[in-house]
Amino acid sequence: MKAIWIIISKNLKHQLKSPIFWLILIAFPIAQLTIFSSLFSTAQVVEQTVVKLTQLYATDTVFTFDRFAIIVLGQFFLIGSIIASSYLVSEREDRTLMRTFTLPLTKAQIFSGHMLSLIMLLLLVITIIMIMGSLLFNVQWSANYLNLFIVTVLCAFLSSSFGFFISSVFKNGNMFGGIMSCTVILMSFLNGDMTSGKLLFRNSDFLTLNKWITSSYTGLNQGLGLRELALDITVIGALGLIFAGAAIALFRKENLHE
Amino acid sequence: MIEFNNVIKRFGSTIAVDNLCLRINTGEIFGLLGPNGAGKSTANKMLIGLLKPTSGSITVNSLDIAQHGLKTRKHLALVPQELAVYESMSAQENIVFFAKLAGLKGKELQNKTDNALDFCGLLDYRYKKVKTFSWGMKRRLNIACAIVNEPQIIIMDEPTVGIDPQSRSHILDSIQTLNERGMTVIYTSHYMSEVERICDRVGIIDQGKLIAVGTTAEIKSRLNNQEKIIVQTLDINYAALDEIKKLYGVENAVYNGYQLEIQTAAVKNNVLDALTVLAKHNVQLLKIELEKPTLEDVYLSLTGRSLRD
Ligand SMILES: Nc1ncnc2c1ncn2[C@@H]1O[C@H](COP(=O)(O)OP(=O)(O)OP(=O)(O)O)[C@@H](O)[C@H]1O
Ligand SMILES: [Mg+2]
Repeated sequence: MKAIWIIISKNLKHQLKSPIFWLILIAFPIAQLTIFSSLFSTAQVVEQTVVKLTQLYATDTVFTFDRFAIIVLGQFFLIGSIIASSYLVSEREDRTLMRTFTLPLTKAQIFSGHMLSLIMLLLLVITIIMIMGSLLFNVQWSANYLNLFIVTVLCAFLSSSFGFFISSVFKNGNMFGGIMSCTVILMSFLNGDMTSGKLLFRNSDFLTLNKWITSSYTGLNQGLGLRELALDITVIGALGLIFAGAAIALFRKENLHE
Repeated sequence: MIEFNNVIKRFGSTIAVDNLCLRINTGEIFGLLGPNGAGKSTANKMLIGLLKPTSGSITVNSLDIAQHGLKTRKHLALVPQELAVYESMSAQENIVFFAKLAGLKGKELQNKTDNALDFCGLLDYRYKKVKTFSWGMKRRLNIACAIVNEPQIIIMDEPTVGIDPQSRSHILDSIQTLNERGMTVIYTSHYMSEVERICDRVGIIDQGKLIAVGTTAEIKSRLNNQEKIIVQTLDINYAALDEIKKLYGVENAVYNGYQLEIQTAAVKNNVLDALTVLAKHNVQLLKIELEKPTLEDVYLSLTGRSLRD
């Protein structure tokens, strides 16, 4: 347990010192929200935007600023997991990960250390975005803080295990960065974030992680309870477990075959 | 005690380590020599558990590392051949991180961190970021991160490559000090002088096979019957050189850079014969030396390759 905490505290300290972290994960989403909130507050634009958006989101009863904030949040789960897990790629390239394997630690301890660092970092990013969102832009994430907490932890778990998995498949830094960016952009297309709600093909959003994340937050935002969100939550949990399992399988082989 | 029992490691069709049987005694400094690609690093990595042998077993203090990896790693540490340090952290942060993971804490952590920094001459740079370090300083930190918890057994894979002679000498002294306190050292190197200086016993490995093992004196005694005659002269004609090559007992003779080197099998004393030939051809001699075989010569005769130095 102690070893796990040593790894976590080193990782967190390192990430929190990085300007990229603050710039991309905190400043960027806030800027995005600011720009859109100014669009929403300009009456004319709002009218146009809402008309356009309501046509596209025909199923949505209302398109509010909250809905937009949720899309941003969903994206930053994934972007956060790219940035945080790219650190794992550099651990591998610098052979510091290999060095930890020579120490009297189990692979399970090392894996847990890195996985928990990812989850904690994502939780931190998402919490900051949510707090800023509600303080600065009055976003009502959910009235039920416990439910909000549970959903957020599950989503952080899913994004982290996804990032960990991708970083174990594409061990080369440039490869990893490219693949992760493409994945996030592709997902944004598939689920309509990039195309104002228009899907690439029928139900293409089912292939993306954001869909499940945003739909569970949308549910929370609309006051639904965990029972009504059972499908979303189950999918998020199951996908998280699948990616985590795959990441563990790859991690076990690490440094044995190279 | 460390034992390799019939250890084989294959990478696809390459056999990196070929049926290695080797025993390294507790408390000794064991030198592992061999040309590039001989399988030294592979053997080191298998010992610490980074690679699994294709077949065979390795034991540390009678514990099989395949079953007791965690337990044996408590006593082992590796200085990897390549750098494995965090560039964005300071020297001290690096050492402390690995030391904590190895189980050090409190006062002991502090003292041993200082010792490790001192060991590698990095005390003055302890708070500097590693990315600002020179190559040699990074290499020194690479060593410090492994020796910090003073393990029972340290495996050093070409630890001093790229380190200046002065720091290298300091490091070799420190290794000997640690050894005197009971640490077993496995020392892989291409520097013969280092190996001769610190190692109690040496193993020579080539193409994955252990081809000689013993004290440096024992290994050298394999070539005891050989010696080298070195004659300095400003000029020599090729007739004389040819005649010397044909002498009974002479294995080879080469002339370059005003120096004639005659390699003899010393079945009999060839010096006088050679000198007679040189006198007959009126060769002006500046200096004559006789050289007993060095570890380098043994190595050359066993592997047919010379070490880069
Ligand atoms: N991960 C790997 N995959 C495939 N082949 C490998 C791998 N690692 C080592 N080898 C091969 O195994 C052989 C031994 O390599 P090793 O690194 O053990 O040599 P070495 O004695 O340490 O050489 P050097 O002096 O260059 O460090 C080489 O032929 C090498 O090509
Ligand atoms: Mg090597």
